[in-house]
Amino acid sequence: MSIPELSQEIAHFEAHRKELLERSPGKFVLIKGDECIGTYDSDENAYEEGVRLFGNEPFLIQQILPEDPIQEMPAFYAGLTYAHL
Amino acid sequence: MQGSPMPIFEHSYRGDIATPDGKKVKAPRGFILQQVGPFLQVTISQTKQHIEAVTRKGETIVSPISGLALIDTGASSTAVDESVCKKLGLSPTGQMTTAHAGGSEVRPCYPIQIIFPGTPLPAVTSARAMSVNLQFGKSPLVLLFGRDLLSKNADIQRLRRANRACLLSAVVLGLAIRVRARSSDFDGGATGLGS
Repeated sequence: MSIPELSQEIAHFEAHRKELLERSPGKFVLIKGDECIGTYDSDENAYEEGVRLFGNEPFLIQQILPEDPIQEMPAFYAGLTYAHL
Repeated sequence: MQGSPMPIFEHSYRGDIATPDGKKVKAPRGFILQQVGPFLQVTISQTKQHIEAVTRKGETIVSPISGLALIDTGASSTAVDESVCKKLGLSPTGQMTTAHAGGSEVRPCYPIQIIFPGTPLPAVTSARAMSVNLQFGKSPLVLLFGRDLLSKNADIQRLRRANRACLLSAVVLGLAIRVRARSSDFDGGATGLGS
């Protein structure tokens, strides 16, 4: 499952995840359309390059990991983040 | 302790409380943090790089949006309200999966700049803040400040160092108290023997 604006980029990443993992594990890859622009040490560096090349267009920054981590937000989903507001 | 970012809580939250007769008075020091939580007044804007890019194209820059942020040490990722991203006209830079009782959900991520008005804290940029609907109900929240940014923020790092210093002080103080207590026991014992 992927968000519509980045479906092409996500599909490209998934198709190349294994080789990216062998080459640059833990780094951040920048993908636009079907093109892998490069790999970077941080998502900030990947973002700077993405904005420089594509401006305010959608592009994918993805950390190269065997599986995408599940993000935890327990307080938010329990409705506790605004309990006292 | 110098350099600890703890005063950000005092700086940024509107620290007024109402008396029983409806009069607003300034909340006592630490009251807001203890009663409500670590909330910050923040302004969310397009990133500096984004503004440069749209300016080059002659496009309009959207005004920043202000609201409250909660420092959420339980959240692994920083989350921004999805309506804020739409108002700022941002394009996605990624996606993240989040899990809840109803299953898992894929959410788009957006690049944002977080400004802390009225504080000396520098602006923070997140290349991939996960967007969720934070404003259900009457919540004025626009941001959950997660561990991803907390781990990168130098001021929070200073807080960690301060906490370590506190811990060390507490250990030293604890040892001192124990030594003193044993010394008192000894004195007491000596007195007891003597009586």
